[in-house]
Amino acid sequence: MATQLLRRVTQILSHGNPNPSSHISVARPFSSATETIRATLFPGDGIGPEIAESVKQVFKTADVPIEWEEHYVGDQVDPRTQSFLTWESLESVRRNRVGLKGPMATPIGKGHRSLNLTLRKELNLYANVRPCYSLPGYKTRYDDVNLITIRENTEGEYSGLEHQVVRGVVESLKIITRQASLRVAEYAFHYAKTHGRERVSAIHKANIMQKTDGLFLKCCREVAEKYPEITYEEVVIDNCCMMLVKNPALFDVLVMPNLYGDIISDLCAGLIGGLGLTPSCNIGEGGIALAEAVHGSAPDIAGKNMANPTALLLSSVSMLRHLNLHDKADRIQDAILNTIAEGKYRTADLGGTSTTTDFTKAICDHL
Amino acid sequence: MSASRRSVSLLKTLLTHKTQTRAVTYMPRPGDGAPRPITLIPGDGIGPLVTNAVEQVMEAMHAPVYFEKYEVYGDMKWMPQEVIDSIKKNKVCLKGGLRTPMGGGVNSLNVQLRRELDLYASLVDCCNLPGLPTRHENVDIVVIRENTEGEYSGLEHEVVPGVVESLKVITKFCSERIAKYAFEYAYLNNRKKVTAVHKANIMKLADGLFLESCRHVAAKYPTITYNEIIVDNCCMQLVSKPEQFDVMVTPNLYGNLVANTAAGIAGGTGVMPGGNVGAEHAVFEQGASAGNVGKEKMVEQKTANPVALLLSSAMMLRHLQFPSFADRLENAVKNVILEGKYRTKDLSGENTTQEVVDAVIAKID
Repeated sequence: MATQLLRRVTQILSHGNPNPSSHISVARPFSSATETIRATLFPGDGIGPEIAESVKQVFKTADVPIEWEEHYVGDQVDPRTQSFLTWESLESVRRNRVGLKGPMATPIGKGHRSLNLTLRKELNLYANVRPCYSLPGYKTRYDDVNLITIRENTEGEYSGLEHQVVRGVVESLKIITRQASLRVAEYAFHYAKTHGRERVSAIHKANIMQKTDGLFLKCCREVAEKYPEITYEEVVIDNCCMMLVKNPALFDVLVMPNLYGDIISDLCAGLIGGLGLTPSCNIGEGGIALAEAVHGSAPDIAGKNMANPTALLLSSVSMLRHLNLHDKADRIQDAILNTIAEGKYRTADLGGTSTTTDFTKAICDHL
Repeated sequence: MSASRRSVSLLKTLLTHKTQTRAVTYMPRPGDGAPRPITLIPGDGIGPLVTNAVEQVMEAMHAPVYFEKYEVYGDMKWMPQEVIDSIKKNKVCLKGGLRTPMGGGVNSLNVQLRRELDLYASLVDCCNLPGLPTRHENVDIVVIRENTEGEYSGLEHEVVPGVVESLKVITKFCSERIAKYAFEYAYLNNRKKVTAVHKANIMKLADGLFLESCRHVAAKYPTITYNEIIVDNCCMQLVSKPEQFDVMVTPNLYGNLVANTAAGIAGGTGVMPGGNVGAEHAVFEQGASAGNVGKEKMVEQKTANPVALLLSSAMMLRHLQFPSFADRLENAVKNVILEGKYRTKDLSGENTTQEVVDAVIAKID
């Protein structure tokens, strides 16, 4: 807790320096709290609508100046986007520059792209940011986790370029480009600076994949030179996994290519208690931010008022931080952490018996 | 009077009676006790420290092995031909650690050795050692990793300046043989479950082929449970519920990560044994050495942990069919860990390598 207070103080102090980086355009001046901001909301499927309701309630109680524009996934393939997401939804996100997404279950079938892939490609979401910190009051085996994983989201091993050479031999291409690596490295250092973080670690396997991860590291080094106040180090991924499970307090901000990012960010989520408690935010070109809850849509508990809204609430907090509404974000985050720490109102997955509405009400009371 | 004296003596014998468990040995062929040559590669960094430890312990036990030492350093361009010839002759090798320099230009010698000798299975045995406190209990995982292809094919090229491609190659031949090795291992060692780790929801063809091969082999072992798990979910489960895993079979890169994660939760790289095995040769080394090989401070202060390599050499003795020497060595090492008096820095102790080795030698019966 003390470290969190210290972080907040350093954040307030660092807000004095405006960020001159031109890659990340902080689109509009969000400093005036009275101006209403429009944000797109995708409630999603399954437990999505219930937890989205939770978020709306908490925001209303906290007087957050956000006006929600709700969009639902259609049940017909939109030919303009070739998926179930309509063109209007995507346009809305592009216009508003911020969004919040609940869990979406991709319908099985052919002839359409997966929903997440559509969002990523159309909005050019290049970085996935996952802050992982131990929730005080919810005990896991690790109590001192406080790190952010930033993962490159567009290329790397997930390019989807595979082919069968001859029968029984398959090749898959991993692509690393200078442009994408520079982009995500810039975002990582910018994030570290604006959130008062001291160290950025690049995770790689350049001793084996010398050219690909070597290019990634070269780009990270170039960006590191522009931020001399932030310590930069490089860690091989197997070493990183080992250190994470032995002593996660060693890490601060991690920046990684796609595959390693996927694995490490899920590992870190496991350290703090699972995907049900992990916030996540996708950053796109031009300062677009789409916060999302990474857990599934849990169709078995949908509609029963049992879902845990923590992940979506914490994601909305990171959305508020992106909008520079830091005081509101802090208030809501404190309310959530205090509610969980108290232990009186906890949903079933955390070992309690409260309903979603009770939990939400407890958070509103703490505000 | 006599009854009480009898009961006292009975009590005394019961309390001091060591449970006589004589190991059921196998019947060796005449001449099997002749000393066997083993190629020894101390390597660089902490390598020489830990291989020296093994040499000392082997001598103290009078084990029927002798070592042929070769000097190899991590920044050599190629593995010297004489070393490879020696391993081909002896069939068994013990390796300290070779540090691959970062930054390109030099191919990893470890990878080269594995390819030359076709050591296609890499095995890391991660289990909680009694006496060593860790955050996770009940960890007993064996990670079997495909060692020759996958992402480590080394096929990279620059398409245009600023765009680099790397090829990941998966073949049915290699996937099948690693799956066969994993199921055979499970069968021979009385393991109940084999889990295949993959990312086939994204890399449909490549990891899909790996999974197909695993399923094909699983059908031949109906007594062993088989299931599949996606690699990111797997890492999450490893840190929260590691007791659900038994034997894991993975392609190359995921295997590296999973093995290091599993080794980390079970106690760290300093204590996990492992090795690489192929159809004809075997190289034993520390199970998961995550970058410790080059740590200068460890070399200077001589605080490298020899336990991992000692346990790997016990595996090597079993591989050479000297089971009682292997048992004695393993018991000695486990007793030293259980006692907790002699521990190196990575196990939060203060002793040097030599002190731990002396303790192990003292415990050999």
